[in-house]
Amino acid sequence: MAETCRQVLKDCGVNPERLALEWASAAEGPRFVELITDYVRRITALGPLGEGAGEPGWDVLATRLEAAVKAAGVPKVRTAYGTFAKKMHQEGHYTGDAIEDGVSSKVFPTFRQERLLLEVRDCLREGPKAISDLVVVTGAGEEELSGILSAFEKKGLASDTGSGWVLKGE
Amino acid sequence: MSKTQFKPRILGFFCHWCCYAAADAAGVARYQYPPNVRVVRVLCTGRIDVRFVLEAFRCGSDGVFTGG
Repeated sequence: MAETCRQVLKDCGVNPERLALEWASAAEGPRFVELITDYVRRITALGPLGEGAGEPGWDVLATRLEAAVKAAGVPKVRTAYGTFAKKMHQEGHYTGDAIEDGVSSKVFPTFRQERLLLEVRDCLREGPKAISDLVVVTGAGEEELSGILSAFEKKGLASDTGSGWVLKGE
Repeated sequence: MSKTQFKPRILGFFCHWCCYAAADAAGVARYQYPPNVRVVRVLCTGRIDVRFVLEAFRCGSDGVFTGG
C-alpha cells in the first residue's frame, strides 16, 4: 500500500517523503513522541504541499490528485493491485526491493494509465485544450497523451477541432 | 508566509491497538509533542487504502503519517 502510494504520489509530482509509515507499540509513548516530532520537522522543512522543491503548484496538483483518487477506485486498478498482492503471498517475497519492483511493473502502469484517462477527460470537460496544455496539467509526455486522445477519438468520445481537443456529446 | 510561521497540517492514521495507544500513553505521561497532527483512528493499519492517502493529499494536507 505504502509503496503504491509513494509511486503514485511521485508520479503526480508530490514528494513521496510526505507519506510516512512508522511503528510504535502501545507501550512506546516516548518513541512515538520522537517519531512525530521528527516527522513534523521534516514536513516543516519541505514546506506546504505544492511549494516543496520540484513540486508543481497546488492547482496542478489538485487536478492530478483528484484523478488519482478516482483512478484508485477503478476496478482495473484494484484487480492489478489484488493480483500482485496474491502473487506476493504465494511466492513469499516480502523484501522492500521485491515490493518496489512488483508495484512498479504490475500495479503502477495501470494506475498511471487510468489516472491519465480520467484526468484528460476532466480537463477536456472544462473546455477545448491543446496537447501542450494537457502536457503541463497531467505531467505526461506528448506521445502518451496523443495515444490517449486518439483512443478517445476512435471511441467517438473526443475530436480535434484544430484549435484544441473537445469532448463530444457533452 | 515565511517558513518559520509555516505550520504543517498533517493527517495521522493511527492503529487503535498500537500507535493510538502510544499517543495516549504519551499524553498521560505528559510528553510534549507538536500539535500539527489530526488523527484518524483506524482499527488496524491494514485497513488503510491507497485511496485514503491520496484523498488526504487532495484535500490539502501537507503530510500523511501512518502509525502502526
